[in-house]
Amino acid sequence: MENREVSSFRDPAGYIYYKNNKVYRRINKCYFREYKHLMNSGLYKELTSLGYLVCHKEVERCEDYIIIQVEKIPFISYPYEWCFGELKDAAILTLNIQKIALKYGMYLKDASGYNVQFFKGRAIFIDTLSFDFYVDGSPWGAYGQFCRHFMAPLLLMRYVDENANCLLKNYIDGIPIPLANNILGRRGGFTAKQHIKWHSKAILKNNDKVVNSTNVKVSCKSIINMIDMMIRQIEKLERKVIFTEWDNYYDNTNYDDVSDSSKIKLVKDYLGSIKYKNSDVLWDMGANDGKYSRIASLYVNNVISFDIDINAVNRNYVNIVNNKEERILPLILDLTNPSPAIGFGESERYSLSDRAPVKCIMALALIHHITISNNVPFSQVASWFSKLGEYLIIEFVPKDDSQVQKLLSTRNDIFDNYNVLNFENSFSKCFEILKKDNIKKSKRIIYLMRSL
Amino acid sequence: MYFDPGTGSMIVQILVASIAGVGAFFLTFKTNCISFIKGIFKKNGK
Repeated sequence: MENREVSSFRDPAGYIYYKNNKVYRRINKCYFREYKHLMNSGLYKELTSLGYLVCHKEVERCEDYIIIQVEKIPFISYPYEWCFGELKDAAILTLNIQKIALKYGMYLKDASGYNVQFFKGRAIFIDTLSFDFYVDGSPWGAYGQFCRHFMAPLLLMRYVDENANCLLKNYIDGIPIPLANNILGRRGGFTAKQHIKWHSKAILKNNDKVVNSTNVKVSCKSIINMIDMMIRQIEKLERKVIFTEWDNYYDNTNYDDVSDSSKIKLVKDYLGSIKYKNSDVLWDMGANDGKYSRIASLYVNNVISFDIDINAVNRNYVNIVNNKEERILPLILDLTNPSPAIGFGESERYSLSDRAPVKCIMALALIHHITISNNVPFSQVASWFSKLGEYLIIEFVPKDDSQVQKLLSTRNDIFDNYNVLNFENSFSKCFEILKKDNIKKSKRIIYLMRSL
Repeated sequence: MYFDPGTGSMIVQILVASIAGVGAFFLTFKTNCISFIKGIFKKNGK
């Protein structure tokens, strides 16, 4: 049965639907001319050969519509879950596509962050129907949207706080320019002056005025100059060096070489005992910079490496780009407050749970952070994890562990139930415990469980 | 377009694109100067 993508309703050119675990896009008659030009002009070929645009094959054609089957992205992520490097790469990709499209007499009619996804370790444009004919002299209609979705969050992340892209959860069509201007103040240099400060003034002064868009003229050459300038400006934006709690995580654990290799061996053993399909996904919760995600990627094609720490996620992403790793996607996620469903009908962008269940959840050295730092009882953690994945690889960290003691050092110990017996009892209600092993030279225990 | 591009965003684009034009001119000028100077040194080197 055809299952239409709920968020695919804005553009009358067509929509996405799912059938038999495959992704299709219906192209309506009103977009036939543009689609034909995209395919026959060489634009599609250039963009797909560069890996900029998602590939498709035509599967049906009639007088009223064309159906294309689109390459499936294993995990859909959102700009508020991306680290600085990911958002920057997505922005540059969008601008590069706009520039190439102009060469073929087309342009991007929208520049939403949601048109970009991460696939095989790099940003890729997924909206095949975003291309329209360029009319000579007309300005880039999606410039405002580009600034809201990319320029404003990037400048706020660089000059105010690197977690500022979380504002995108509240503003589905990008951060309003006047709001970005108020937060930025005088920060951001000339780039912010042009795209935020003057832009904000122009919006506040003119947006209630009806101006015939044919009166606004910007030549194609000027648009190309503007795109080139914006690419240079975004490329120059570098992360501010900040120190976070988790920066030296692997230096501060109480593992020595023996316990570390014992943990790696057990994780490999557990991962190897699960049978995977090509499309299966594993979520590594609290992955830090992806040490265990890399091990998991030896077994599973698609590993999503979640962590709350911006430095760790950025480090993970830089490694992926530098080493051309294709199986891992690092994302920012606060497990105690995961991404909600947002948009019209609370269904345009999926919550984290909506994107589950996956084949396997990995929660290594994590339970004490959820249970002690955030007071979540074992039973609730078990119940949530059992909804997210079929298998669970989880590490129990006992109370006398130095990492737990560190968490308890600044607060009252109200966790009488925090012991291995209660942990096993709570998780046994939602999972079958398949394997249980002690990590050598450590009091920590690793479990392989299967959801009931 | 299937959404409102925003009058303010269209108007500010004229200004931003003009600045980009000036920037592009100086960038080309700078590149040409550098390659010209490099060319002189190359000739002298020979």
